[in-house]
Amino acid sequence: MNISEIASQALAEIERARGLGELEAARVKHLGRKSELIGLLRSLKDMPLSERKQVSMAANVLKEKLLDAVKVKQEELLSRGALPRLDVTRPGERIETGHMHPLTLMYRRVRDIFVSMNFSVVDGPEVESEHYNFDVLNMPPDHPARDMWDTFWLMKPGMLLRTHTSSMQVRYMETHEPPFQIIVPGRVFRYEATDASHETNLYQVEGLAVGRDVSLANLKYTIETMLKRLFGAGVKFRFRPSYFPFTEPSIEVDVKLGSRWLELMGAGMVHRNVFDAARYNPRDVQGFAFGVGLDRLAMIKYGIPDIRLMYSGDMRFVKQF
Amino acid sequence: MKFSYTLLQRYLPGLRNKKALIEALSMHAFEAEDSGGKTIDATIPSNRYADAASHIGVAREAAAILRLKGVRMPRIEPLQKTRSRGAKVSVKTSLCSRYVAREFTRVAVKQSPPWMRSALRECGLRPVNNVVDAMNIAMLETGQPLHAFDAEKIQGGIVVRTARKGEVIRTIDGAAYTLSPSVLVIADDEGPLGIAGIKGGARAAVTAHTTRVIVEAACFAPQNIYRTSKLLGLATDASVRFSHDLHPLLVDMGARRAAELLKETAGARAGGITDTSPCQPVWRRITFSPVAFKSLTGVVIKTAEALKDLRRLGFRVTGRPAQRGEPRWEAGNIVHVPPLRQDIETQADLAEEIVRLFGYGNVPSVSLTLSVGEHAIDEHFALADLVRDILIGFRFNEAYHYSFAPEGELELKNPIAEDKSHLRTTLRKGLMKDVAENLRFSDEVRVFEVGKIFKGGERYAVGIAHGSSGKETFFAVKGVIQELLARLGLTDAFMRELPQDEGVEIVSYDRVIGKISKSFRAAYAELDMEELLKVVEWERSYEPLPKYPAAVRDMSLALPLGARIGNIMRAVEESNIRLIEDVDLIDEYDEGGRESITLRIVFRAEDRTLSSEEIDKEMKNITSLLEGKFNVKVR
Repeated sequence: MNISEIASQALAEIERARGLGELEAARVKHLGRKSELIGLLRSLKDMPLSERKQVSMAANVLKEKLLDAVKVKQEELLSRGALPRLDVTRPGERIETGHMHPLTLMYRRVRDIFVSMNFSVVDGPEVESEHYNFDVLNMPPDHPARDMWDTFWLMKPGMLLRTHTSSMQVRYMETHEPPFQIIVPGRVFRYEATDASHETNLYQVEGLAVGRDVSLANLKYTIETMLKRLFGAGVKFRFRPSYFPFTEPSIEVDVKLGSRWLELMGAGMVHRNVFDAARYNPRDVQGFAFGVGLDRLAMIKYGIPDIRLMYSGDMRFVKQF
Repeated sequence: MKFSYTLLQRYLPGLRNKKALIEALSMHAFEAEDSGGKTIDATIPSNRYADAASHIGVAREAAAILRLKGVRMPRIEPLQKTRSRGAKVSVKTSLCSRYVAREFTRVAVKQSPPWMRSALRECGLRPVNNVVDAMNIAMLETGQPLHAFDAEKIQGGIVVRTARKGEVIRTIDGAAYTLSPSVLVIADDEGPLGIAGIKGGARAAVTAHTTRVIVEAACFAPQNIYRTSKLLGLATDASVRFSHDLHPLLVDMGARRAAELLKETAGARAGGITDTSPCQPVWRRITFSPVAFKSLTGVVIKTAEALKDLRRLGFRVTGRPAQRGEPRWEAGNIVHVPPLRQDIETQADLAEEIVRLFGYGNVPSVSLTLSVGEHAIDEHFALADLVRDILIGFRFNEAYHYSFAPEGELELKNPIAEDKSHLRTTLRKGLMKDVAENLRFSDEVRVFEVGKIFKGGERYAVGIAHGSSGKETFFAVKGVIQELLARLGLTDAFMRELPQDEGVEIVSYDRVIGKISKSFRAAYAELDMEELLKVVEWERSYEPLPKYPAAVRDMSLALPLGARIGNIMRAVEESNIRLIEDVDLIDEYDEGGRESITLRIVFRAEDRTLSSEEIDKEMKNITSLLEGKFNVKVR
């Protein structure tokens, strides 16, 4: 065989090898001590000088080429699983990552829902004045409706920790012209004894939409959309009459989970006195407002039985989310 | 507020059962629930105490919602034109808008009839005797609190006035209260007979021997009663009602119902009436505009139906319906509001009445169509979210803690606990507590919080704590901060050592944006988000990939005592910023009691492959620089 014949045969056999054994056999056959190529190289010394140089070069080139081919083939076979057998039933490596708090997760879900409805996301102060937390919300001083919100007062007169994110309603209206639709997520405070369902610190999301013709029907759609996105398209909910000094009509929203109706949130149409306080003309604008507790949503959604877990800093709790 | 189902049934014979009543009230009026037995607990909205905080009011609601026929409200004595003079009363304050006193003689004090006693018990009240019970029943029925004095024990006339400073009153239950001039009292010539609108005194209380009583029905300024009740820490059935702006008309109704009951149960003879300010019912008028109603509610309902619902609730309707083309707010029937419905002032109030009777379930669901342009997200929220995403990638877990702390700049007037008396000025305390507590369960704790602190104003902060039961974590936290800032696109930030082992502060564009400190078994970093927002870039930008290879050289140094590795590395970097791409600390060891380190220096030029001669020259330069400036020994 001449060199090119050796080449085509050897390369073909290397390529054909279906396992490491066959590859080794091909290697021995074409590159081993008894192979034709090595025999050829060994016989060089008997050749005439002129021929020797030419054949030597061609044979060496081929030898390199074949070694390369074997190596490539070997890698290919190895990568194809011709390795020692893996015990694939062994456990996967534990991947450690950080975990976000369920309140953050719930905030993000709610925010995404409202952003998808083109609501803007607005922030407001936690230390608030009596004025924005109560007075402008149609609750003048010594109004018994204030008792609906147990309040932390600051030493500084007239200052308190906001009891609801509704305190942002007039603040926002004072600096913006309608139409607008916003949510205000944030921390609120209640002066009350803590137990499994009551905390002194908690989170709310306020919603406020104001325009010329914003209606109760718009409020229903908005809340319905939120509930469907949170609890599934088949969610059952209902509006009930309620009372808040700063909305008229006022409603309470319940959702049915399992066989039970759960009180979820308060809402209503913005009271004209609130528009008055914001120096809007109540004849020109209508709006709706709602407030939903993020802690409560998270507890319902994730089945958390005790609100105090939220503020416990227990990593065994957070790492579940 | 508790209601007796037995009493309600007396008025509404058509009532099927308690459950149906509760459902009707809850879905169409206000929240009501079953409190067991014959008791219903209803949450009366604070603007409806005048008309609905009574059995008559609740029965009126139920009758309208359930369209009940044959309603039999309790008998109220018709208005009397009596010539006989009543008790002597003088009102010496503007805080009492109406005071009615009526004397009853030949009163036989005994036990009340069973229906009264059980009705009282169902409402959570204790039966006392027929006189006191009649007052309470009349209150439960009409919503007007009433009080009966033993007329024999009143010295001179009745005076309504504010208390004198230090005046003391002993109440029926034996407690004594020292009063201040903001408190309203009912007094006689001798002194206070009762705390107005809150509780009666012991001195003129009705006893088994009483034969002559004076019944009081009055209307007081709600704010004053509300404040006094809080001041004295004394909340009674009466005080809760009076705090809610009752109507002067109720005074008369309550007094006449009480008269009826006293006659019925005590055989009493009614005497003359003293009324300090008789008042006439006023029916407020509101236009009902169907266009405005539709616009506000989105509900489609025939005007006639809507008006029928209003009539069921006691409203009167006159005038003609709105005509086509008439202005939105002005046109329509005139609705006359029952005098006790103080809550009804506007068209929105009427709309609520109609929609709640119609049922909120019938409100359609219609998408908002406000043209508000694109939405915006407050930058604090946006940055907080980015930070959270980055930190969980660094294996940090998120925590939320109370805003309270034992000390701070803002103090609470009514803290919930001694160690929660102020607003926090740092997130450190909560996170360090987490580290300590969670180290019980794992060897390493990484935790962060994004929240508001109150330090020189209200501001968001990011707190990052890393604790370990064995390892030093300061440099882990330092690395986290460096990478966090880099990912926020903040390239121009450095750390400056603080005196007295206080750690380092993080500086960017001459602003201190945070601090890293060390404590037992943990390191803590806090970033000031307000400062961070001023320097953060949000964006990242591309730098061309290197065209020429880097050359890497290691340099080992023996350090003198107290050397600052950061300063040494910075000096290396700055020795030739054009050619030195990176300096890294790759090894630290102790050699013969001297701290030694190995630095890895990466050289690269933008425009050529560096020759080894060039690099040797740089290395030599660095060696002499370090030996000269830092007194190190290069090996």
